[in-house]
Amino acid sequence: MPDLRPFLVLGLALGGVFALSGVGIVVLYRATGVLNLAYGAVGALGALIAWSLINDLLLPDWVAYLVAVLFGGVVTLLYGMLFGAPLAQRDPLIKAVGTLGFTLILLGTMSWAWSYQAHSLILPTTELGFDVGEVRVNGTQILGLGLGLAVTGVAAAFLRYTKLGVAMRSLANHREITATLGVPVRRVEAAAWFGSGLLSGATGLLLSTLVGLDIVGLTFLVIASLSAALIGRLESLVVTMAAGLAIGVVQAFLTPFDTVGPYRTMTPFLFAIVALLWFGFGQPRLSRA
Amino acid sequence: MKKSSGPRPGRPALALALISSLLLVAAACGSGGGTAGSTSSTNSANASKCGLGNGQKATGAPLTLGAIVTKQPGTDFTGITGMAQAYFSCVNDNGGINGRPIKYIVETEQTDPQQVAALATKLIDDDKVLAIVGSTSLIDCAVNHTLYEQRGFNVIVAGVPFACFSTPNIAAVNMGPYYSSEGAAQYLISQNVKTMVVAGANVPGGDHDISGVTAIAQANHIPSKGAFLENVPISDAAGIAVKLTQAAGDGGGVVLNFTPPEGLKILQAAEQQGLVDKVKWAWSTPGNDASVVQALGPAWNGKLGVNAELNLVDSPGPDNTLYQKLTKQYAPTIPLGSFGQMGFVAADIITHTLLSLPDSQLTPQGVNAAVRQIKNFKTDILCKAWYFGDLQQHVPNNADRTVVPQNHVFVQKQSCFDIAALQGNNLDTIRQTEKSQGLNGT
Repeated sequence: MPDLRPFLVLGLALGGVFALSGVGIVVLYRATGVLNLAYGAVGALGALIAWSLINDLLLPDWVAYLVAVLFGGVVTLLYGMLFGAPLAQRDPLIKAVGTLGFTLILLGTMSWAWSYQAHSLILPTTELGFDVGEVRVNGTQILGLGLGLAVTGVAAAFLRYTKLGVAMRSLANHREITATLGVPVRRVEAAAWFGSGLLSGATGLLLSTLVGLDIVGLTFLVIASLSAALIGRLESLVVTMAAGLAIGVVQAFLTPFDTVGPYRTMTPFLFAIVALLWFGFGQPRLSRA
Repeated sequence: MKKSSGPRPGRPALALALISSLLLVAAACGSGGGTAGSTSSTNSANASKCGLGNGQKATGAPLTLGAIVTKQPGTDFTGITGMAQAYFSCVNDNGGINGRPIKYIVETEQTDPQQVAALATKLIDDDKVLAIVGSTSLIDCAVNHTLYEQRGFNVIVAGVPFACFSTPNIAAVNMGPYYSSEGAAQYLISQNVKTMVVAGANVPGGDHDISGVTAIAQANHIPSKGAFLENVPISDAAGIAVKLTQAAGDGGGVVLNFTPPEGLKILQAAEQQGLVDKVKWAWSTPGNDASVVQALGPAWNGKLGVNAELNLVDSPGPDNTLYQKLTKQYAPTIPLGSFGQMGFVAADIITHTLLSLPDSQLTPQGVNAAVRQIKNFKTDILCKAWYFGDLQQHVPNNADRTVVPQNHVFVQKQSCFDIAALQGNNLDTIRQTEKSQGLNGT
């Protein structure tokens, strides 16, 4: 039996980041009805911009990290302002496909601008750490888990207790009625886009260290976050967080086992399928009449 | 259907668009160019010349060459053909092939056998290429070698799957992941490892690519503790690093067979997890890359043996000096490394071949016949002279070096050594033929 303790640490760290990005996806969905599939691509692009700022323009690291996070907020907000309102009345599927198109544009841009080379962006928190027996726990892993937990709590409190948060929740229930009540719909939506984008930028930086600064890998890690968000039914932040952690830990635990290890990347899909079947079980069926 | 009539984007949105675009352009303009050249040679030795070296643009009827290259997530070999294109651009700026420029058609593929078969047919029948040079594909050799034999095409590749080294009409400038991984394992054996573990990309032929590591470990009575195929692009490098070191155990050896971005993820994850000194590490030739060595921290100084099928990127020989100059001038986004050197050598070989032929022989039949006769092609980038020759299998590059990182550059740890001949890897037969036909002066 392999030693699973290092995999527990790795799984919790990665799961924390899945939870962080899952929260970002849920908050945006609750405010705008948009399932943002470009979440991972935005984070990846922010991390690559940070890499270029540090390595090519020789800017201080902290400036590059700040730019990456702000870039995530700005470009997500830009998408929301350009396409959010025009697509507001469309099906959720159409709105999601719109973000998929945005993903492909970002993916193409990144491949064009940053192809060929191996890129590396390691946060300075990685140098901090301690050993628990034979298991090394570094600062970025702690940051990933801690930020996931903290953002979940803050976001839940924000949505429940602040005026802006309440406005976001009411937008999710009924956009037109909310507007007639005098809530500045576009400003509330803009806040949701921007906030979600900031989380996307932060997620990109964390994942660039935990997983590697890889264009395609980072872009499609959104799938794990999406699974967590779906398990939370795009409503509950706490369930989303728990699901993100569970996905990360289970995927990591499967790694050292030869029989199931090669299939561990299916973990988010399996979680999502089981959850969707569970939610559908016991629902009244539509009759032919 | 209700027509959507959303409001037009106002000034704030346009301002945001402008800021984002400026950021993107600034980063993209700066991306990739600044860090690839830190290992450029300070030696002022003369560089070889490309083509005629006369500084005159070639303006005659073009000579068409072709290539097929894999480009998909986790596997992108276009740096090789990109470097070959750079060489040809230099040739065209220096008189071409007796006044005629080279037109290089590169087709990308995504490991779809039907697509790859169609691309080879297109190059030969529609584009009417004189030769196929610099192809680097996971499946081209296996899918198309019969076509090449039927049409009399003698193809110069940067080979990946074993079919590039075991068929009569294909010869590679490199030795490919199978032999290179074996060479990496040979280095670890020289470092007295107690066990052997290997991990490679889960791509077509990936299992064979890493099988040589297990074979040479067994031949040296070293327990083989695992041969793992990992899906690429890798999304859990830390887990893989922990798994490999657990499997190898203290004092064991781990061989990696991945492209530069994927292998780098594992090494950096290993460093973050404090695993650098738990085992001895080695990497097949893709690790010999400037962007990799610049990203590896000082914790890796001397701790990673990379099997270098081609010479150090800052070696001072005339061909390598030309390679550095061409990279800087024509392909600044391609990092200095083995991949670029492969494209350079392939282009160098075909250019010299074309220059040696009279105009009447610049036909597919004439060029491919000449390619097959190539022997004793000397270049300071390879350990031995290169050849094509009239053989059933071709592994002309079967000796290489080991390099290790030292303060963000690679330094030579082992000079040229022969890759071990094992049962089933053809090297015994090939080396006997080299001697008997005088193919490379051995």
